[in-house]
Amino acid sequence: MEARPRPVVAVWKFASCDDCQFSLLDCEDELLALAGAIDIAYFAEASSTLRSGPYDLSLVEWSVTTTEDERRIRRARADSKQLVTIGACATAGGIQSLRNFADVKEYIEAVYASPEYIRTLAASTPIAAHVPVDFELRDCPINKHQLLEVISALLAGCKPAIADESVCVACKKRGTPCVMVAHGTPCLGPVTHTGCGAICSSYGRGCYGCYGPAEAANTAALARTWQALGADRRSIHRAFRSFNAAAESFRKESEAHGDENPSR
Amino acid sequence: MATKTLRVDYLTRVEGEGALELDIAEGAVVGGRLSIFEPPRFFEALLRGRDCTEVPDITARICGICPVAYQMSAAYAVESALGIMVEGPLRALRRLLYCGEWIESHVLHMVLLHAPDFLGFPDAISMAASHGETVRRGLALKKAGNEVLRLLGRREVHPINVRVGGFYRVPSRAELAPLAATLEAAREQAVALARWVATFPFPDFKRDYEFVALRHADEYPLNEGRIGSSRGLDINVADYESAFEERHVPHSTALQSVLRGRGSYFVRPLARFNLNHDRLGPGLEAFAAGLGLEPGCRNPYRSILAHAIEVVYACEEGLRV
Ligand code: SF4
Ligand code: SF4
Repeated sequence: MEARPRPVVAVWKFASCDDCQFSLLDCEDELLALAGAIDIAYFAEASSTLRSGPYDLSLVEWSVTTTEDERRIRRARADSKQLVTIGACATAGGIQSLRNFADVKEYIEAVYASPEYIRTLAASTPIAAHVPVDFELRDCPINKHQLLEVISALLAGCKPAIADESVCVACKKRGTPCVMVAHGTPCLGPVTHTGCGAICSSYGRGCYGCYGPAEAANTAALARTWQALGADRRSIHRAFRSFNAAAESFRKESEAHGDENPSR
Repeated sequence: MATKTLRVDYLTRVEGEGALELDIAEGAVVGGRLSIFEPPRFFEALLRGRDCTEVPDITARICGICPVAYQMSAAYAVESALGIMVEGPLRALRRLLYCGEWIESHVLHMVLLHAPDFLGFPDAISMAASHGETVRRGLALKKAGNEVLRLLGRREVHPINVRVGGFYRVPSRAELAPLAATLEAAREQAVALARWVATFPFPDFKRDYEFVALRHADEYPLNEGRIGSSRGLDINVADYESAFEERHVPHSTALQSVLRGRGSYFVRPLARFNLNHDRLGPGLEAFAAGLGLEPGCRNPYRSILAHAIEVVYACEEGLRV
C-alpha cells in the first residue's frame, strides 16, 4: 500500500489564554502518536520551525481583537483547506468579549497608564464573523478527547461525532442527582453544551456555562427557574455574561436581565 | 559607531506573543526591547462589578498553563479582603493542588519548551527521535501532575473546584489514597529528569540580579509568605504597590514591573530557590548542589535546574500532604 502524505496542520493564536492549543500537548499518551500521524507545520508555542501554508487543517484559538488579527485570519483561511475554531475565544469571543458591552476606551484607561499606546478593536469577535469556519468547538477550555476526535474525523473526511446535547443529559446518563432539584443550587446545565461530562454537578456546584450554549437552549425558561430559586436579576444577568457572553442566546438572555455592564 | 539591530519577530516556544529587538555595536549588545504584542484582554477592567465568588473562575482564563496560580491568587485576595483564613486540611489540599500544577507546568516548560534550546532541536517532537525515553518520561511526569489536578480540581485546565473559602467538594480519603503511589513514582521520574537536565551545556554567564520571591516562615512558599529579595526587601504582600511600580512602555502591551528606585528584578523558580533553598529540606538541598545548583546562583540558564528541583519538591510535598 502506498503511504499517504501526512496531513499538514497549523495552530494559530492571538487573544486567548493558550490553553486550547496546549490541549494538544496535554495529550500525554497520544502526543507522540499524533505527531507521527500529522505534520504540524506551524505551532509557534511548541516549535521554532514555522512553515508557511498551504495547510490541510488549521486550528484557530483566538478571538479577533485587532486589525492585525483580521488580516491574519483571512490569510490563515486562504491557506487552509479546513479551518476549525477551538474554544470559546475563537468561537464566541471569549471572556474578553465583555468589552463588547462596555466602552473599550474606558477599559483601556482602567488598565493602562498610556492609553495612546494601545491599539484594539471595540469588540472581541469570533472567527466566524470574519471567515467561514468548518467546525466549532466552543468549550472554555476544550477537552482533549473532543480535540482528537475533531482532528481525526476531519482529516478522514467525516463529521466529528460530537453530540449536541445539554449538560443535563450527561447528569442523567451518569445518574448524578440534579443540584437544582436536590440543593436548589442555580445551574446553567440545561442550556449548556455537553462535552465536559457534567463535572460541576459531580462536585456539587452548578454549571457556569463554560462549554457555551447548547443548540435550541431555552434560556428564558431556565432564567425563570433561577428566579424561583431566589436568584436576583443581576446574578442571572452575570451568569449569562461570562466566557460565552457574545454567543447569541446567552447575549440575548443577559440583556433581558438588565443591559448594565457588570463591570461599570 | 554603527549600531545594528537584530529583530526576532515572533518568539517561539514561549507562552504568549512576543518579539525581541537587540541593538548591537562592536560585537556587544547595547540595548534591547522585548515587545509583548499579545492583544490586551482587560481582565482588570472586566472583573469590576463581578461577584467575588466568580473571580477565581474568571482569572483562571488568564493562562491555561498555570490556571491554579491565578485561581489561588484570586481566592487569597478575596479571602484577605473578607478577613477569611483557610487553614488546616483545606490549606494542605490547596498546597497539594498547587503541587499538581507545578509538576504539570514546570515539566511542560522544561521538556516541551526549554530543553530543545539546549540540545539544538526546533521542538520536543523532533527531540523525541533521539531522546525518546526522556520525552516519554517527561510526558508521564506531566500526566502525574495532571492526575492531582483532575482529582482536586476535577479537570486539569481551568479546574472547577477552587472556591473562595476552600473547595466545592473535598475528595474523600479513599479517593486521595491512590495519589500516593502516583506521586511516589513521579518523584523517581522527577529525580531522573533533574539528573538529565543537569547534563545540559550551560553557558558560563552570570549577572548581578536582584532576586524576588515569596518567603515563608517555615515552608517552601506556594501561596503564602512575605515578599522578599536578595537585597533585603521584606514586605507584606499587601504593600506590593509601595515597593513595586508597573510601567507602561510604548512597544509592549504587557506592563513592566520594576522595584521602585532599584529597577528590574528576577523572579520565578531560580529566585524562589535562591531565597528559600533552606526550606527544601537538607536532602533536596544537597541533591541540588550535587547537580550544580548552589544557593546564590546567578546564571539564568541554570533556572531549568531550579524548575527540576521544584518538581521533585512538589512530589515530596504532595506526598507529605
Ligand atoms: S445538575 Fe445542572 S446539569 Fe445536571 S441535571 Fe441538574 S440542571 Fe442539569
Ligand atoms: S461549567 Fe458547565 S460546561 Fe463547564 S465544566 Fe462545569 S458543568 Fe461543564
